[in-house]
Amino acid sequence: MLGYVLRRLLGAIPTLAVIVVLAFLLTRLAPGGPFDEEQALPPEIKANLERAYGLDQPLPVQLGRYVAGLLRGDFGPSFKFKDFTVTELIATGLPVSLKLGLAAVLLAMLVGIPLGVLAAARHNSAVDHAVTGFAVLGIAVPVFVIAPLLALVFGIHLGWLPVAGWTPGTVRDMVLPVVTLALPVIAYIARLTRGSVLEVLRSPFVRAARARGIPGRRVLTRHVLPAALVPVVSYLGPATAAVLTGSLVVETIFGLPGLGRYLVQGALNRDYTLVMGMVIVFAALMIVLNLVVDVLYAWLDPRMRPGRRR
Amino acid sequence: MALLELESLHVRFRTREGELEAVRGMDLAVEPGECVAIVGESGSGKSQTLLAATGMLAANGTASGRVAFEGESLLGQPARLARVRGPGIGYVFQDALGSLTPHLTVGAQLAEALAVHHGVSAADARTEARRMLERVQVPDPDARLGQYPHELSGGTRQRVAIAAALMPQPRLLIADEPTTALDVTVQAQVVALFRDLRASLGMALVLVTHDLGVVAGLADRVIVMYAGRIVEEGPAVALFASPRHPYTAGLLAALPRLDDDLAAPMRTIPGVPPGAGRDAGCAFRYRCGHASGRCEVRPDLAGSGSSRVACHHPRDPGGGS
Repeated sequence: MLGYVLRRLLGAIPTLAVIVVLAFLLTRLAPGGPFDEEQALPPEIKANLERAYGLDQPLPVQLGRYVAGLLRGDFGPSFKFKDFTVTELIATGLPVSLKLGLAAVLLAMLVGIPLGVLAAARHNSAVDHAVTGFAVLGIAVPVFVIAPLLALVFGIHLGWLPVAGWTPGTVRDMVLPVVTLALPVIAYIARLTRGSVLEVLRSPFVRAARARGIPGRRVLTRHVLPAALVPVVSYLGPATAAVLTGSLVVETIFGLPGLGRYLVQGALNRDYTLVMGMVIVFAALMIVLNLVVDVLYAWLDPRMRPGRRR
Repeated sequence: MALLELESLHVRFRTREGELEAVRGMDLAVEPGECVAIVGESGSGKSQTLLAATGMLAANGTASGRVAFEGESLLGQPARLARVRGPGIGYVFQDALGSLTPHLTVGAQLAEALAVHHGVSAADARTEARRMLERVQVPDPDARLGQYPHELSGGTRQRVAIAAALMPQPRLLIADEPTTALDVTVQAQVVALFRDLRASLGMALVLVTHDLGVVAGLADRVIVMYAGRIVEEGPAVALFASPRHPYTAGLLAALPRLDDDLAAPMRTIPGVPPGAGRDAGCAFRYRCGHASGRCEVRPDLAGSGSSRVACHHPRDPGGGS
């Protein structure tokens, strides 16, 4: 398994290389540039700026310089957040985003999976209908509605938690944003788990386990759950990515210094290096997430283990 | 006292098309150590009878009547059923691969049934699992214990599924078409295995099948079902030698023989089984060469001794027609 993980990580290098080149070309293809403002700069100043940042060079040269920097761990200077390198921006924003995102996904799993199992085990009961109803609501209501509502209730009316802000190292500041990010994922995971458990419950090996006299709860946890979690695990990769990249709204509402705003602002400002930095960070995250998902698959289902054949 | 007793068992299913009655009043007694075969074509209610008896009908099915195991009434008694399934009644299904949980090793699945029912330690359960694999003649049992079902061949899977059902030492084993999914040589091995197991373990066996060759090799007594009812029952030897119900005779005549003309079409019973609607007459009369006006009233299952038949025009027990 360790060898498999290493092989996969090595295999990720060409993937990242392709992503770097494509992203580099795409950012340059977009109309406009980092120094196009509403009030146009005098041409000689713009030319000076472009020369200073190396934008006057032919594209292959620019790409070569950028890649050379990357290999030294240097993502280049940000064009808009002057005084900051992209490396610095990532170093401050990534831990915040990772903390929020992973906490949200973990919370979603810890709540969503038991909810789904409970609903399936009590199929067509009041519990089932309540879970299904909550799932529909959680998927349908957008984050920008949930976030202010939670802030209003828990921050202002009850006064339990801060409305916004970020003090490094405190948990209180994380609660509302994490819950906001987690709610739609909880809803989706609950619905997915419920459907999957119901399906697995109908399979012949469950009937056979019951026929052997294995008690219902044990059948559910040992025979049904591992098989039922496979689709949930497939969803975890994209879900984590969506939570990490889609946290812009949550970061804005709760005033958090995460990465989400850099991605959007970077793209709007044609901040080439910042966008590139974000794309590379998120691509690397996706690659790692997919690897984690595949390892989880193998853990759940021996048929998906690498190198084990009949 | 009979081991398993069914009295006027009815099984009904609620479906979109209305209520279907799959089993319409079934009486059956299985004695300890006995082998009973239930035969009949698909849809005759064989499997549903036994699923109902063990409380494992699909969610839209209901059973009524009486089911007793060792004198204890089971129907509508989930707690008793839970105790009987496993150490009382074991179940082997047709779908061998489907009967094993794909993500658990053979050893884990075999040991589980024993640990759950007899409170045996994990290590002892594993030793017992190994012994059971040997008993069902799985080659290289030590290696098998650590393998997953998808790593085994079809015949080995069915042997492991049989071993899993045998682990809690059931007094009755129900085998629902245990050989249907297997190729012919493996079928013969599994039939031989059942014969050995009965002799060595002394358990009763209820065999559901439409393979009359399997029946002849194993069963003491045969029950022929048609459209949810018993149409004939009797000792296996007598029933094969001189079937009395025209349906039984048709089933036997439809068996291919080695000296058959290969170019001729295979013999079948003409027509199709009736639907699951209500009918006051004999269900077989539409396909029966002997049907008369009397067959508009359903015949009772009647007879002397251990042989009974439900027919107004039973064939002469002395010989064929």
